[in-house]
Amino acid sequence: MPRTFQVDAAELESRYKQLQAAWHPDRFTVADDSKRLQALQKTSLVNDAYVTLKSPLKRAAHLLALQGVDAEEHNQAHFGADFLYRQMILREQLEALGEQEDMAGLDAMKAEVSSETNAALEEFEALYGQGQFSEAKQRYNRLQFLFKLLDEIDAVEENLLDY
Amino acid sequence: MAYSDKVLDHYENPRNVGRLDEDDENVGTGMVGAPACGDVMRLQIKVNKDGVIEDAKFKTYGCGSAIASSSLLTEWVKGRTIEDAARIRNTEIAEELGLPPVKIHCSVLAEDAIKAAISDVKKKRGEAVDAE
Repeated sequence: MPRTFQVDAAELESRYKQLQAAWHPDRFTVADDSKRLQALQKTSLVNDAYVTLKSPLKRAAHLLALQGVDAEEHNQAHFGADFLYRQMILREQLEALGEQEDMAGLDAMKAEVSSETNAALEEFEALYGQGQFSEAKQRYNRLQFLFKLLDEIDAVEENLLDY
Repeated sequence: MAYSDKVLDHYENPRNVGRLDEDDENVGTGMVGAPACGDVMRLQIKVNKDGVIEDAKFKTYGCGSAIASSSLLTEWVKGRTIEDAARIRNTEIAEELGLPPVKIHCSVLAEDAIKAAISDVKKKRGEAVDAE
């Protein structure tokens, strides 16, 4: 598959199934030990690769690692004070919407955060493509906060629906 | 993973949760985050003319250890000078709370937050800010 941030989901699925089938341990039950071991290792590698490529965050971290950038190393100044302020405000907003059981408000917030997330994904892709890896890493770090927030919005919504 | 009693105590009864007026020139705000867990922490101090921290408030969205680290820190800094508060190390917080190695970064976040709050109030007052 091409080494790009955008991944063709259908191609990923079909390549994954192909490779999984090719190295499935069931096919090597009568093979010798070293072949069996190789099949197991390949299967585990294929699974890791699939999980990495499927998640935009993991994909971004992997692309940064390919450029020798440690995606998890960071200092506070790098995130941008305005960005952190906004993250704080959004989390306060989420807390209030949850307490008010405001489903419409939660849906609206989710749409807003999703669009910010998509914008950050596009920026990551563009910056990475231009070789601006430090800037791309900042977007990756921001995306980590945004994806966490999206998970939290989902959790609050699920909680309300169960109730 | 089990939390220590001290972490649980701060998590269940966090001290000094809230906010101070960011626009007050005697208030320093430290806003920090941990991308790997998506935690966000706001720690604020109100400093009098003698450089003593009169009040401290925090709000943390994160795990129990991050909440406990910031809660404990607000207790510790009250009544101290900002120079003294700037010397608090994350290892002291981690030790007091009995944080396991995987949660040490939560205490680092709290240390980053108090440093950021101190720099902020110094900047507002036109004082020199120590380079990190």
